[in-house]
Amino acid sequence: MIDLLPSADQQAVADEAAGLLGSLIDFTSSRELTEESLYSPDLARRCAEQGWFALALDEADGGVGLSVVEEVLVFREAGRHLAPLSLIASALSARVASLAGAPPIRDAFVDGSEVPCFGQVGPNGEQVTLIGLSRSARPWVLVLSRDRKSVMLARVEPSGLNRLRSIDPLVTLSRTDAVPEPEDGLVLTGQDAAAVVNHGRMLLAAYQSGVAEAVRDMSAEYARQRVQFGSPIGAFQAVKHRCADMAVRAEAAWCQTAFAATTYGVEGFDPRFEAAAAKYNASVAAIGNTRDNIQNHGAIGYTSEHPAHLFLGRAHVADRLFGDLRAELDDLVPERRAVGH
Amino acid sequence: MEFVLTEEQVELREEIRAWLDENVPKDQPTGDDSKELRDFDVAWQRRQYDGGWAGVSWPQKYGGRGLGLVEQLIWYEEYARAGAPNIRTCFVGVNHAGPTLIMRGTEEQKKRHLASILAGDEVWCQGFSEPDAGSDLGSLRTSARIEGDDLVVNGQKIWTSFAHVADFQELLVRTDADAPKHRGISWVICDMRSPGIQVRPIPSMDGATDFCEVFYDDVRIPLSNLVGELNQGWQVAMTTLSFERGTAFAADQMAMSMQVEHLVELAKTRSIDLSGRPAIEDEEFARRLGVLRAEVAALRAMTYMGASRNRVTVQPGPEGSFLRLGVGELMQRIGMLAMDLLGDEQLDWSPPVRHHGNWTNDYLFSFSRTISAGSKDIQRNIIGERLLGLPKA
Repeated sequence: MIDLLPSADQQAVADEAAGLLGSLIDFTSSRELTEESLYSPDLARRCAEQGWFALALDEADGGVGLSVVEEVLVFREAGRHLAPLSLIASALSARVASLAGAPPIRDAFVDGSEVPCFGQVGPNGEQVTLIGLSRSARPWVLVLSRDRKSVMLARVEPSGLNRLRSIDPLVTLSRTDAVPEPEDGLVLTGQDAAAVVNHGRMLLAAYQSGVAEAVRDMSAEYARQRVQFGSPIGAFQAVKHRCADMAVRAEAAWCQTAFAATTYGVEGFDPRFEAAAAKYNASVAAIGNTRDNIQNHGAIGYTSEHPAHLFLGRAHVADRLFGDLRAELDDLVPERRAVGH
Repeated sequence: MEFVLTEEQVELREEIRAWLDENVPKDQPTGDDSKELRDFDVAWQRRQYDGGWAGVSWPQKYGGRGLGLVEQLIWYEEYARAGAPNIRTCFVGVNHAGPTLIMRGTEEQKKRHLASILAGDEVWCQGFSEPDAGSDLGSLRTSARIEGDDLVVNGQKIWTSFAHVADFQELLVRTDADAPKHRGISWVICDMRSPGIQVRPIPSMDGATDFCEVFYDDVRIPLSNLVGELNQGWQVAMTTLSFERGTAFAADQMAMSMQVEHLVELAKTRSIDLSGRPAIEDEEFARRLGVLRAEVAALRAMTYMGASRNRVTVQPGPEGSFLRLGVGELMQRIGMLAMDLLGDEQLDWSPPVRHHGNWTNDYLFSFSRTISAGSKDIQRNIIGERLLGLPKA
């Protein structure tokens, strides 16, 4: 059967995730927001109780035994609720530890007792920017090499971390000059690394789809309520059509994400292509929609009292992870390298 | 959410591929003579019908194969891959008049027309737009009064593709001038050979001559040709348009994927700068190809999502506008990139120009794709109002 709509069971997984996030995250309540203050320290553990970080791991590997399909449904909800990106790092780190043959470490990510963040290697290879908050005493960091051919789990010394001001106040940014080394040989190369990259892109695509959908709905709601010139602004075509374009982008993002997830492992489909296309479309949607959402809200959307800017920042952060728009386009046209390099 | 082809579907794909291999016409018409195009198209339609492939998802009792929308998409995918001809003159009949009759027609109308449409014995055209009723279709004025068992039609339709070679028309007429504008319209099957019909072709910017305007002077149409009730034609028209937007262009979506792959091949052999190196080695150009591939991929996924939704709703919902808008805009972007890659060659449009398959021709043709079946502005209104709940102006 080919069906891109969730089954009742799959929808239940998504609804359960949405219910949990809705009860734990409220980004409208406070103006002084930070990652530490907004997100409960308990959040990862509560998500872990729903099996978030082991959904697509085999039962023999301590997993739930479902698939990336359930994962994308869950992480789409994460994007809609502006949940921390470290939740995606947790799922991916559990996968890396599993593939690297380290069950105790895998289990620590799976049950939420360890929460990793993402690490971006700087241009000279000598700096790493940590994206997101690892709540461990010695933070775990999931690092993809700049050529995206190897992925490792490392730990960094908190003393060497310099806190940066982040484009997204809810995503902790810090930098270290210490070049991280893989912890306990937790490094993947070749096929395994490629599989983790594809997997990561699908989860990030799901997240970006959720971001794109959330601000689409936020804009539609506002356009129905806000009255100017005696009419709800959504009645004006300039606004209506911008909202329609947001809906088109969100549709493209989620459909391609669902397509990549459902065809993952199916003969005749190239997972690298489908995952890159998913993340590309989803990041275009997330960035484009969060930008339009600010425009639709006018000056209110420009203030820090309104959450519109939080979604914009988040879309840009998620775009940087596991390759950016350019990297994904390069992966969609491997012919360039085959011919020229 | 799953993507599992059944064994039957895998076999079906192989069977389709083998049949297309054997049967796709090697030579396609190169000119724009509509009569010639019709002859070619109906012969090819007949061949598909005889092979059992016309109307893969149509009910068996109306001459179809009785399979699902996924099987229909498999057919389109293979059809595009085989480079089979554009459906062209058979488009209206097969892709929206037929589906409208299946949903809304009387049993007699279905028996009379459906198998004939599939077999290529009937070519249909669409009589919706009028000079003063384009995007505002509901304000159409072509009138029909009842006389005995007939409707008597007077007025004018315009921008009707292949009216001069069609046998029948999906015709919208005003049957109650006093009712609110959407409640006085009827959808009727018009025999294009009826006395009182005059057709004048209008050449279009891509050089084609299939566009027409149609004049009706006391044209008599039996009341039994009404599809749906008298004055209920707007609902029937929305059914027609839902198919036209939601499913009719699935073949185009598949074909666009082939077009982009052709462009990638072309970019390996052509240069866009003085260095003489192939365009594909240019980082920026390669990424533009990447954007098209990503967008084609998303559109294919949206097509499958559409098929998944239609399994539930049968008639495509307002989400069809996502596809209509996506196809139209992407086709234009593909055309623009092709023009860029062709350089000076894009300017040379000397005959013989193949009807579709020539980049300059395709580029010019692509302008129609964000106008027909509701302009892109109308599609955005539909998305805004019916999917996002925004108020009407």
